[in-house]
Order: sequence, then C-alpha cells, then structure tokens
Amino acid sequence: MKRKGIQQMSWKGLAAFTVLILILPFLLSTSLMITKATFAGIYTIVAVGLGLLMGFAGQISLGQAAFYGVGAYSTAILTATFGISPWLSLLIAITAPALIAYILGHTMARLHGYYLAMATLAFGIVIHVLLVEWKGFTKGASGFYGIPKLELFGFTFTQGISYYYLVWAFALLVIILSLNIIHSRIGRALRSIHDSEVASSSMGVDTGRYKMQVFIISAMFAGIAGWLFAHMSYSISPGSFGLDGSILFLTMVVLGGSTSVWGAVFGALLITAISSFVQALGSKISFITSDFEHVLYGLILMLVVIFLPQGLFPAIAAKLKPFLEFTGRKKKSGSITAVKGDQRA
Amino acid sequence: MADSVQFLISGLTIGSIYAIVALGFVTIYSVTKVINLAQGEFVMLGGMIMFSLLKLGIPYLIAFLTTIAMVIMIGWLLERTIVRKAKGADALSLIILTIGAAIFIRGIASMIWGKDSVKVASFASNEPVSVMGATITPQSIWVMVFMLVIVAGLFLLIEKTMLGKAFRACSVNPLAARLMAVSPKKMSSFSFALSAGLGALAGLVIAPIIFPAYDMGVMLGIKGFSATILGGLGSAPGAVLGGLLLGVIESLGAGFISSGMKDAIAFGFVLMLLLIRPYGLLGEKNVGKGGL
Amino acid sequence: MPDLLEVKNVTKKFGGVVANQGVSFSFESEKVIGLIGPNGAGKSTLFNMVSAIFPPTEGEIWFAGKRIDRLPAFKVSPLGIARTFQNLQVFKRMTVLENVMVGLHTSTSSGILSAAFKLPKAKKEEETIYQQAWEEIEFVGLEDVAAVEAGNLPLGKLRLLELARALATRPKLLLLDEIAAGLNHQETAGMSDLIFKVRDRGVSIFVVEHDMDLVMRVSDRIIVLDQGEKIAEGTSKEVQNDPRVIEAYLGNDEEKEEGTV
Repeated sequence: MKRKGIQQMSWKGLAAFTVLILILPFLLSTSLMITKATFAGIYTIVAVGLGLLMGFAGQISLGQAAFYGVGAYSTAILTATFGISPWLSLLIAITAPALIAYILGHTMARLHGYYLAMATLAFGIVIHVLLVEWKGFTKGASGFYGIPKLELFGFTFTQGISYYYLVWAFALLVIILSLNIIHSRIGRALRSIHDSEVASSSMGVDTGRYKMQVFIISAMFAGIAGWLFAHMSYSISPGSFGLDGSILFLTMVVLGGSTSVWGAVFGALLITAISSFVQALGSKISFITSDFEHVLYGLILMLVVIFLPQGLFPAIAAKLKPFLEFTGRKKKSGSITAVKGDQRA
Repeated sequence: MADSVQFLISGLTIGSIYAIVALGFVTIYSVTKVINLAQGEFVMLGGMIMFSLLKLGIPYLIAFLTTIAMVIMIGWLLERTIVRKAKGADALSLIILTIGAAIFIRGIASMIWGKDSVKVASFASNEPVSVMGATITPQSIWVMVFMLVIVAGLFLLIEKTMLGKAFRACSVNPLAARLMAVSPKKMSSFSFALSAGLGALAGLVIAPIIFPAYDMGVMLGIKGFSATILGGLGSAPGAVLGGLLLGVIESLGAGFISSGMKDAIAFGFVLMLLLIRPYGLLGEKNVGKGGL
Repeated sequence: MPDLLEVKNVTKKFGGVVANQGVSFSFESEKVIGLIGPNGAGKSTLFNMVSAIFPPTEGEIWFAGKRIDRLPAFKVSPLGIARTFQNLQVFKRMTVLENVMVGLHTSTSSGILSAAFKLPKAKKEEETIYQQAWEEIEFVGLEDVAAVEAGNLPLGKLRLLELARALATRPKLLLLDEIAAGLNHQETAGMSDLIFKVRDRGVSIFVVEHDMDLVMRVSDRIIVLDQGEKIAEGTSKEVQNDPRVIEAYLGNDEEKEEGTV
C-alpha cells in the first residue's frame, strides 16, 4: 500500500542501529568498556523517555533520576529484603514510577512548563532525602547491598556481555515502542500540540491528557532502567539518583536533540562516551576532575541551546544526508523518516 | 514553648534568605519571562567572594561592597553573553540554559575554592540575645533587617523612580515599552544585574551563619524557586510570603520531626500546595499561562 | 428541531474592555451565515467563544441542543464544530497530509498503548485515517503538496490546508475566520467555489470576512456587529441598505482617519 506524505519510521535505520549494537562488544577491548556500553543502554532508556516528554509534550522534568531511583530501589527492596522474583518486581519497578508520575502530572495538566519543572525538582529532592533517611528500608546513604542477579531458565545474567545484550534488548524495545507512538495518531496529536496548541485543541485533541500520558510513559521507562541498573550492580546508593543524575539525563536529551527518538539515543551514547573519556583523562591529568565534567556539561547545555536548539543529531543527520540518502532520512526534522513517495517496508 | 520560638526564629531567618532569592527570581521573570535557575549561584558567589576578599585582608565594609559589585558584574555578563544570545527560545530552552549556567558557575567555583566549607565573620558582635527563652544571634537579626530593607528598597525603586516605571512598562508590554523609548534589552540586563545584586546580598548576610561552600547555591536556588512558585509566579509579595513560609515549615519540620527530613518536609509541602492550588498562594489563575 | 447554533445574550469582557455586549442570534442547518463588522467590532471574540477557545462572561451558547459555552475547546470538536484561523495555526513541522490526519483525531480512538505495540486496531484505524485524510486533500486540491512540510507552503495553500483539516473533523458547523485574507483575486474566487461545495456536503458555514464581495456572494444571511453589539441581521441586500450598517462603516472610517493623524 502506497503511503505518500507521512513521515514514517525507517526500518532500515533501526536495523542498522541494531547491527551496530550487536557487533559493538566485539569492538570493545576491555570489560570496563563493556560496562560503560551497558550503562549507555540503561541511560538510553531513560533519555528516550525524557526526550518524548520534552520534544513531544513540551514539558521538562528535573527529577527523572528519581523515577530511575524508585525503579532501582523498589526492585532492590522487593528482591533482596522480601525475596520476590526480580521478574515479578519488574512490574512494580514500572508501575510505582507511573503512579507517582500520574499524581505529579496533575500539577501540569492545566499549567505552564515551569510548574512541572518545579514539581519534578521538588519530587526529586524528596525522593533523594527519603532514600537517605528511610534507613529501615533503604539502608541509608551508605547504600543497599546484596541485590540478586537476574536469572532466566537457569541462565544468570552477570555483569559483562550477557548483561550488555539484556540491557540493549530492553533499550531497543523502548526505542521501537517510542517510534511507534510517534508515528501514531497520538504521536501526531503530540507533535501538533507543539506547533499550535490552540489549533490542536480545536481539532479535538485533549492536550492535557496526552501530556500526562507521555509523562507517565517517561517515568515507566526510567523505572525499567532503574530495575536494570539495580540487578546489574550488587549495590546501589542514593547518590546515583539525585539532582546531578537528573541533570545528566537532561544534558543527554538536550545534546542529542528531543525532536526525534534518535536524538535522545545519540545524546545518551555521546554523553556516556564523553564522561568515560574525561574520567580516563582524569586518571592521567590531575587538573581534570569530576568538577571539570560538570563545567563541561554546563557548557554543553548553554552552547547547544544557543547555537543548536534542535540538538546535535538533526545537524549531523543533515550533514550525513547525502551519504544516507538510501535510508530516507529527512533533513529538517532530523527524525528518521521517509519522505515523498517512499514505500512502506 | 521556648523550642517553638527558637524554631520559628531560625525559620524566619532562613525564610528571609529564601524570600530575597525569590525576589531575585521575580525580578528577572517579570521583565524577561526567564526563570533563572542560576539564581542560587549568585548567593553562593556572594558568600565565597566575600570570604576571599576578607582573607586578603580587605576591610569588612569595602569587601562587602566589592562583593556586591563583582556579583552584579557577573549577573550582567550572564545576561549579555548567554541569555541574550538565546532570545526567542522557548521557556523550556531558557530553563535549560540557566541550568547550564548554574552548573558551569558551580563547577568553576569548586575549582577555585575547593569543596570545603569556609567561615565568614559576622557583621558585628556574636553575642546571642535571649528573647522569650530563645536565643537569637545578632546575625539572624541582621538577616531579617536586610530582608525588610530590600523589600522596602525594591518597592521604592519599582514604584517611585523613572527606572522603576521603565521596568514595569517592560514587564507589562515590551512592545509598547519600546515605543515609549524604553529599551527592553537594557531592562533585561538591568534585571539580571539587580537580581544578581539581590543574590549577592543574600549570600553576604547568610554567610556568617551557614559556612558557605561551592555547592550552597543549589539548595538555596531551588528553595528560592519553590518560594516563587509557592507565592505565585511573578508576584513579589507572594515571593516574600512563600520564602518565609517555606523557611518556617522547614525549621519546624527539622525541629519537631527530623533534621535529616527537613528538605523532604519542605518540598513535600510545596508539592501538596501545588496540587491543591496550582497557581500558588497569591498567583492569579492565568499566571502560569504567561500573563503577569 | 432546535436551531443548529444559538447564541443567547452573550457578553465578553477582557478586564474592563467590553468585546461583545448582549449578542443574540441563531441559525438553522445547511446555511451559510456571514458575520461582518468594522475592525474591533468583536467578530473574532465571538468566533473564539463559539469554538470554545474561551468562555463568555455572560450568556449562553447552544449547539445542536447542547450547551457548549463552558466546555473546553477539545470537547466541542467531537460535537461537530470545526474552524480555521485567521492568523494561520497550521502544524508547521508536519506534512500537509499529517496536518489533515490530526483533523481525524476524534473519529478514532486507539490509545497510547495500542499505538506503542501496534495492535491490530491501531493499524486498522491508521488505514482509515489515511484514506479519509486523502479524500479531504483531494477535495481542496492539495494532492501535489501532500508530502510537503506545512511550514514551507505559501499562504494560499495554507488557507486550503486549514480548510481541509477542519473538514476532516466531519463538522456540522464550519467556522471560517477570514479564510480569504491575503488571497489574490483568483484564489478568492476558488475559495468561494469551495465554500459552495462544502455547503453542498450539508455543512453549515459561519463566515467572518473582510472581503465584502465574497461574503455577500456566499452568505444566505448576514449578521453585522459594531462595537461589540449586533446592529443588523438579514439578507445581503437588506444589510447593505440598513442605515445603521452604513453609519457604522462610514463612522468608523472617520474615526480611523482621525486616529492616523
């Protein structure tokens, strides 16, 4: 069936990315690098959700790391303290953040972006404080130890290549789900809100409802990422889920660009690479510390907003366009799309 | 009883600081519609620069004034070099921009001053006074006095001077203001400079109480932002009310429940209030939609 | 049979400014009704209230037997009211076809989860949306630019796009807010043909228009506003000869001249 004129997702782009992910472990030389690549997958899951929220619902969350933390701690407590199966606790790790997002979302339903920014910022701090102070459950600031490994049909996922593939399987699923949403009637409704909220609502689009749904989805994705993180590590501590974490996720999305799912993916990969590089450099040069990393992120945020408001990915995609013509990447929007007369795969 | 009075006073002290920071938010927001999340960093710079100047042996009053001047310069520069470049960006991008500025300033500060807290001398004597069984340090009184002076000064500046009239004109209608030969660009710079000055003052008066460090701006900035939203975005009286309320709740929570939980209690309160009254205490219903 | 649209004693104030004062009128189905008046007469305000962009300060608006003046805008569209915008509110970063597809939003219902997992229902609906959107594209004649991002189109095509998008919602009542503004002579003629074609589909049309030729030609009946109040109503001939209408237009011109000094 010929479908002229719809911005479609390119299965070729997705396939190429999947192949890249499959062969990546064979290109990485050390186990540390595999671990970093696994983290990149975990961050990708959070960033894709946050990207949907920012790019398609036009809202900002400054507490995404807290949803990530809720996912991680709920599975840690349920599995280690109460002995529940990790696969069962995955459900809780997804629904708990979703429920919180549903409640928080009421602050934004009728109002401006600033209020959700405030609400998520406050929520992030409340969660961080609770993780530190609610020692009976969370073991406090020193961290929660003894989180079991994931097992499936007698196979244990340990840190390393097997966990890398597990994480990226989830990440690819999240990417596909997000692409499907964007290319559906809901996705069109969301994109329309961004261009003209008044026209959108006069077409019958319940803008508040869809903003809320995307916020909930973004929290669920963060929950999944938290679950993966908890079972990857033997221990977790509140430090990973504070304001710095939320800003890290924000930086990924801003750097990559939130107008497409691939922007967030790209941002997550790039920031993980930059961070690994800076840390490696820091072990050799004393001047380069974690402060340097923060200064760098601050610079990235400012420069991208000023010079590349759409993020890096659309700019790069446009540059690469002549070489990638066959995948049907579309110049302006930067999303992987099929243009005029392209046939649906 | 004595405990309650004690908590109330320390709550009003820290609340006064939140109020000053919140006024900084309102100052910038009312002219530029930017939420400047780097506001807390001005407070931090106020404390840290003062520390360095005093360490150099510069007399207190001169150090005090120099600090304010330097932070005002930084605020003005922030507007000229960063914020102005992004004019026309949406609210979301502007928030991100100022977060970037905040992280950047904080990172530089930790490179300059390290991560340890420093000590800054009080304005005058350190002898606590006893009121109704509670002890008050003179610096606490200074904090509250400064807050009141700032409120009165801002009121006079905005309501009684030509500069204030231009300022208000810009916040109501930038286009009309331009027709009346008021430059919204200049007012935007001015609002950042003024707001940086307010932040510096907050940092200067609180420094002797809280032992400043490079990261003190994070919490103070967020609390100031909360106070602004709590009071109703864009409302100056709301900002002061929000700041004081937040300070008192935090202090009572720390005193009667748990000091570790004080931030959770304060922000839990903010969240509850936003759910019940999304437009803040003194905010108009349509404030969030861009009206003033 | 109730009237299609009934505006009862509607007043709208913005702060101290009265934009509409006690406006009442009603009309039945399958008609083209024109709304005219000098600048600042309150036409756009009235349109915004009928399309529920904002509520009236006083008075009621009824549509097909339902009171709509307190509904949020998105609930009015499914009842059968659609509109275009004078200041063009197209979705710039979406293609022409996708713009029209948004118009079919309320006639479909698959949720975010069935979209994410591409359930059969969502796929089937997508097919329907696509087909119907194409029909509207063909109706207004935008086939050749269907795949172009709307932000790249000239004004004439954008007006057509807004019309197609509004029609995609399958309205009973279509509000056209200065649909011919900025169009050249030929485009305006094409637009008036289209308006007749839309009426022949059984859609009632409510037109705000500055182009007097166009509005006189297409309207069965015309309502005249001046300074927020209704001053006349009737056929184009009746309205043209109404002394109050003539005075409103001439008087307004004098004011305008004074204002420009």
